[in-house]
Amino acid sequence: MIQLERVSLTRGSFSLREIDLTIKQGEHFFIIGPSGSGKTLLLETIAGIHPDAEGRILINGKDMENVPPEKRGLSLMYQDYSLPPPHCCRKYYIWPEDPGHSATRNLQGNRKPRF
Amino acid sequence: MPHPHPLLRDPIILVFTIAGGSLVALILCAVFIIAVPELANPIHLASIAGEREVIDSLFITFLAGFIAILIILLLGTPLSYVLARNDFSGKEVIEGLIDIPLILPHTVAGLMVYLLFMTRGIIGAPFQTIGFIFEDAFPGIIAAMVFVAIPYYVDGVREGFEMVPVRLEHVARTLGATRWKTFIWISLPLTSRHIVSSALIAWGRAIGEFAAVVMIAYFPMVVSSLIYLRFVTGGITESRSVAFIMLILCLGLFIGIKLITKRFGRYHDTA
Repeated sequence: MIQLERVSLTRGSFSLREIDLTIKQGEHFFIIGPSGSGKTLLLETIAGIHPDAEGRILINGKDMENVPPEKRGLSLMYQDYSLPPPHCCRKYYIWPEDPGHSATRNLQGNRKPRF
Repeated sequence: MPHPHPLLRDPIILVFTIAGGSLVALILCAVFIIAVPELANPIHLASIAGEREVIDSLFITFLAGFIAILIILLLGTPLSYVLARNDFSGKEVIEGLIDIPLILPHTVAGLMVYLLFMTRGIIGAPFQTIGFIFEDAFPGIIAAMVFVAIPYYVDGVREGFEMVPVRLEHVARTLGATRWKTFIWISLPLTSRHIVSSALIAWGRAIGEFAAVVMIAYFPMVVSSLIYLRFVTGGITESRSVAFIMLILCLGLFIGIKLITKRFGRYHDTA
């Protein structure tokens, strides 16, 4: 479960203003808005990229303040795939299955990357 | 009907060729004016190249340049990253400060380094108490080289970090990488080309420094000092041989590193 309580954040021309939102287990949400409305900023804030956001974010009832992105157990995928560039298709394909690859070994941290 | 030569058909090509060509020709002439007489007298060149004083100063110059670049790599890379990724009040002031060694006359930079690192200087004095002396010593050369080369490295690498999409770093973190891991495995490799080319330019600047080095450490002599000394005491033929040796070494190293790193860290980014 993901809960947002009065989450506010401004980054340049993007801003979130006192967002309240509860996403329960098994629910699927679509956030729709014109470009520049802060959809990505909202997702980044939930993922913990912007630690200076005001308000509270709870994941499974746990307050995520001071929890860095790598400890939140979330995945974030942008509209571009954000693959590390210096790889060929084959490497991308085998990446999640290749525990010996340096990128996998060093990026996975607590868990394997999910695709 | 015969076609006119492309240069005449399109005057802009002619103008650009003359404008650009004259600059290239200037540099080419400068290389030839040193290289031709030296290659015409290989015996004299070999005797100069074998001199103890010349070999020592070459060794000192390249070693000091190498150490200076290591110091700049270690301290300048984090600085570049901070400048590329953060906006904070007073950032312009810091950026201006970094460029000071670049915009100042070298003698001013030299005076600054001297006043800081001389045995009575605010950095030189505490170091002297532990027996580490900059004035007229090898560390003084490194200090001067670091000072003048900082902006060349930091400006270039900051540009490199700015080109790394910040989203790649975000994604790496949601995939479980800490800030450190993200920096070392995502940001740093994607900036490697800028790091290499900036380090190369900074290194060239460092080993070529004369004014700043001379003021803090005339001895032991770097190549620039030696060339100047020989120019004012021995004349053209004395200094030109040393200059030619330096030209060959620098050109060789520069082209060599460029070739080795040609395909290094290249990527096509669609992000």
